[in-house]
Amino acid sequence: MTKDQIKAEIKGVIEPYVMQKELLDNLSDEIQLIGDLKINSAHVVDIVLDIEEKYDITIDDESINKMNTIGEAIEVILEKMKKD
Amino acid sequence: MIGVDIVDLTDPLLKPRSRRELGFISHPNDHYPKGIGEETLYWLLWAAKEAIFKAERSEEAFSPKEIEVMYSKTVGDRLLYRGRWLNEINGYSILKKDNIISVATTANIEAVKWNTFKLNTSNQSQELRDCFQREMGPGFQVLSEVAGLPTIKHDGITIPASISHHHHLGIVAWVES
Repeated sequence: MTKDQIKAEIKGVIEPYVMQKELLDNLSDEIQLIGDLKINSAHVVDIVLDIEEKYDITIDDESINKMNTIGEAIEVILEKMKKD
Repeated sequence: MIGVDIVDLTDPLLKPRSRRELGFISHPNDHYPKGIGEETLYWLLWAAKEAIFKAERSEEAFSPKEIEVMYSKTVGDRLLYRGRWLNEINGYSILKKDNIISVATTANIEAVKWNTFKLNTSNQSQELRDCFQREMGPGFQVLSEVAGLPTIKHDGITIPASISHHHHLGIVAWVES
């Protein structure tokens, strides 16, 4: 699976947690989940659980702290898919 | 300084929390109230850590595992705790059937005032500010400082405040001088 494929899919994963849907229109790697997309911080773990289920991977708590942006989340997914 | 957090437990997007998820946010020195299930425990810890983080007003990223929360005793409906991150700090949480509120402050905890509001729009930050002003009257106004941290302007005096919103609930807290 390529980075672009994951990027297209991750938009669907985070969409339910983004209240202002127009913020999803231009999703670049640098976009921050909490700061830019205004996702409630309480939902970060929910997103991690969704990603784990979708890609059949396990994300450790150290990796969660690295998933601040779209690009960082994709990197974590790719890394875990290689390992798992 | 003051920090506040609110968790709306009716949010259908919240997935169940178990021991594993608790491990994502726990510090080894955390001390929990007894007789509370893991699901509720997770949110009690989460809300306290968010409140402590906000009260510090640090530019560092929120990392709940680095924040200690030691719940001690219950007074009325308040679960009192001491927190430790950059400084020592006092706080309390209130656990209700559908929500959890937590406030933390470096000031006198008894001087903390807060109001909760029902929210219905997608721009909750603005809706919360508007609700607060309607409730408190024209003498009160919630402002954002340059760094984005909220303050309340009351009769010309600016005091630190904290706001939080989640799902259909919002809260504004401030320290009354």
